[in-house]
Amino acid sequence: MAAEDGATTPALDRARRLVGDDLQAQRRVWRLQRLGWAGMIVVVAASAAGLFGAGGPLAGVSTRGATGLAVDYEAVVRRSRATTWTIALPPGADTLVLADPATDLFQPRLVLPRPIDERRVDGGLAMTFHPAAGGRPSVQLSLTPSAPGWHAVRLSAGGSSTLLHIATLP
Amino acid sequence: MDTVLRAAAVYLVLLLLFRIAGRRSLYQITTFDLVLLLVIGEATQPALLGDDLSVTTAVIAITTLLTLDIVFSLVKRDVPVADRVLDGRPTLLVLRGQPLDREMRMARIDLADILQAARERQGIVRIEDIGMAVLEVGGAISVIPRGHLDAAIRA
Repeated sequence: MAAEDGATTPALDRARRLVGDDLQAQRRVWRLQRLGWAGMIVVVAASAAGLFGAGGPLAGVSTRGATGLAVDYEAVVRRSRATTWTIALPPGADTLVLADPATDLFQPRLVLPRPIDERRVDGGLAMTFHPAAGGRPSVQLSLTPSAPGWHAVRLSAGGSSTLLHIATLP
Repeated sequence: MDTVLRAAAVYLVLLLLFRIAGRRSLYQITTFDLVLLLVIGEATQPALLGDDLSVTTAVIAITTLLTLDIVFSLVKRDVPVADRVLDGRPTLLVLRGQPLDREMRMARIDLADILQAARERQGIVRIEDIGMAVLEVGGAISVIPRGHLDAAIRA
């Protein structure tokens, strides 16, 4: 017959002392372990949802500037893991400016379509694209985050600007 | 500096996660457990080394990990509280043939595990013949035959 749950009898206490068991301390450890398991489940669920970047339903964020500059990006990214910004320039605009220190925090890997001109301007990097025929030019920037931390990155185009708030995890 | 910090972070995270996972996970290594450990090692490697494949970085990372392990072993030896927190205590699972259900449930050990350990280590096939079964801090199950327990208590 099995012993009752949590039973403590003199014989049990003696046996526990004999092997160095400390039931009270062990119960505390078990409680902490269960809390730890709950924490691990939360981490896994949050990761699957995208709260730690690298895809997931909650990973993507959109920002829309008042005069038409729109950016879809990931608000949480991981260092050294490429992330993509999809940028819709305002109608008529053909130049996108990444304000400093954006290019120090995020190394551009690929720009689609390829810019016809790329130059340093006062306070940032300017990329000029072919004017879109009868529509809004759309640009895809693939970047590699290089510095962990909370970053605010300003993008400007055609007199409109928007601020991206991005957390880069180590 | 970066390599030392990475190695220390990986060491502490693994220590925490394996402590949370509990002793049951390493009590008896199955083939799947072994594969899982290899996968964990593979997943850990980029965090440890980054994109630096130099021998120097590997040597620094290994030295840091082993140094931390030595430091923790010394701390556990000299500070009893740290020993209890980091390694836990042995847990009594069976006394005189009677399974302690709550302890077994919390330790994620079932009767089949205890009987397997009893067969392997003591040639015991019946639960009634077990004097004590103890989940040790390393995750192994020690089995003391009933006759030995009675002799130890009489002594």
